[in-house]
Amino acid sequence: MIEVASYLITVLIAITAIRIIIGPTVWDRLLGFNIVLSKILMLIVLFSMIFDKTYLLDIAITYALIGFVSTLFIARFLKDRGRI
Amino acid sequence: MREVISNIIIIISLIFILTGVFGLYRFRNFYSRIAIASYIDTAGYLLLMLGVIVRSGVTWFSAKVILITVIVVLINPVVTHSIARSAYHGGYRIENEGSHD
Repeated sequence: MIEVASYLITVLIAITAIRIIIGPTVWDRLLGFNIVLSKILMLIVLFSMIFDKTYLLDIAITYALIGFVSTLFIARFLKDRGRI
Repeated sequence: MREVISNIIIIISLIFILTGVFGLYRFRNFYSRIAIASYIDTAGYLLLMLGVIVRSGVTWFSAKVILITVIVVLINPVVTHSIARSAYHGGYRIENEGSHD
C-alpha cells in the first residue's frame, strides 16, 4: 500500500507543478511551491518507510525546515514587491 | 491486523490529498484556492503520517516521524498565512482580479 501511495503522490506532484506554471499571479506559484514542498516531504517519509532506513528522515526534517522558511521569506519579499 | 488499520488510514489520507489537489484547480480566485489547498493538504499529511506511525509501531522510526509531523503541522499554516498576507498587502484584490500581473 505504501508503494501505491508513493506512486499516486508522485503523479499529484506533477499535477500541482502545472499549477505553478499556469498560476496567474505570482502568489499562486508560491502556493504551488508550498504544496509541492509538503508532498515531497510525504514522499521522503514513504521512501524511508519502504527502504526501512531511519537516517532518511533526517533529510526530511532538514528539508521541511529549510523549505518552509524559504517560502516564508519569498512571501515577505513579494509583499512589498522587493522593497523590504 | 496493524497492516489493515494503517492501509485504511493511508487510503483516507490519499483521498484527502486528492481533494486538496482537486481544490487547487477548482476555484477561480486565489484566496479560496489557498484556503482549501493548504488546509486539506495539512490534514492529508497528518493522516498519512498517522498511517506510517501505526504501521511501524513503537520504534525510533515512528518517533522521528512524529517529530516531522509536528514540525509540518505547526509551520504549514504559518507559511500559508504569510503567503495570503503577502498577496493581500501586495495589492491582489478579488474584484479586479485581472488587473494585477
